[in-house]
Amino acid sequence: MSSATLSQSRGRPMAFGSYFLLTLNILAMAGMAVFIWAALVYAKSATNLAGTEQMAQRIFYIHMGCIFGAMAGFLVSLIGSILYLITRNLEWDRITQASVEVGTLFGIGLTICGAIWARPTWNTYWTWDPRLTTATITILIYVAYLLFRNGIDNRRTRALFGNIYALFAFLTVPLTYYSARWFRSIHPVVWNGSNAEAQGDIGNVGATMGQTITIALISFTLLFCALMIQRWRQLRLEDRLEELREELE
Amino acid sequence: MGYLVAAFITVWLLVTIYALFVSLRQRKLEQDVQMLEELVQEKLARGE
Repeated sequence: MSSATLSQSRGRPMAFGSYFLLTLNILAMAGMAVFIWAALVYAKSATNLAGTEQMAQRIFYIHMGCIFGAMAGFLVSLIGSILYLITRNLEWDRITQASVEVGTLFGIGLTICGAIWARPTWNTYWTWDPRLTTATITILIYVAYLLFRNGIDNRRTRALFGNIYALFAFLTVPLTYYSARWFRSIHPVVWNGSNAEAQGDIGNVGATMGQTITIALISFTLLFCALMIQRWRQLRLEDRLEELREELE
Repeated sequence: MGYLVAAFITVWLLVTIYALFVSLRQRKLEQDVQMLEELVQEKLARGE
C-alpha cells in the first residue's frame, strides 16, 4: 500500500489497489444513500405501533446496520488473529487491528442508537439488562485491546499480545448474542427467537422491512470494508515509517 | 421524529469523525514516509 499511496503523492499514476479502494468508497457512499432512503422512506411504518414509538421504530434499521458492521469487524479480527498466530505474518496483525477499530466504532454506534431508541420504547435510555450489559462488556473489551496494544513498544510482542487478546475477546460476541436467549431480557430476540419470553423474530416482518434490513446488511458491510481496508493500508504505512526510522538510527 | 434524527446523526457523526481521522493521518504519514525515504537514500548515497 505504501508504494501505491506514495506513487500518488509523487504524481505517478494510481496503483490498482488505489482504484479498488476508490471504487469501494464510492460503492459504500452509494450504499449509504440507498440505505437512508430505504430506512426513512421506503420501509413501511410498523402497524402495531403509533406516534413517537412508530417513528422511532425506524432506528431499528440503523441499529441493525451497526450490528452488521460490528459483527463483521469482530469476526474478521478473529480470523486475522488465528491466521497471525499460525503464520506470524504481520499483515494479519494489521488486519486484526483495523477490523477491531472499525468494529468497535460500529459497536459504539449501535449502543448509542439503541439507547436513543430505548427512551420512547422502554421509557429509559439505559437499563442493566443482560443483552445491554454483555454488549457494553464486549465494546469495553475491544476498546481495552486498542489501548493495551498501543502501550507495547516492540512490534512483534505487540502483535503477539494483540492477537492472543483478540482471540479471547471474541468469546464475548457469542455471549452477547445468546444473552437475550439464556437470560430473562427486555431486549427482543431478533434471529430465530425460540425463547418464549422474547419476541421479534425477523422472519415475520413485512416485505419492505425485510428488504430494508437486507439493504442495511449490504451497505454497512460495504462501509465496513471501505473503512477497514483504508485503515489496514494506513497501518502498513505506519509500519514502513517505523522501519525507516530504525534504518536511520 | 427527534429520536430518529438523533440516532441517525449520532451514527453518521461517529463514522464521519473516524473517516476524517483516518484521512488526515494518512496525509501526514505519506509526507513523513516520503521525507524519511529521501533521508535514507541520501544516507546510502553518502555511503554511511
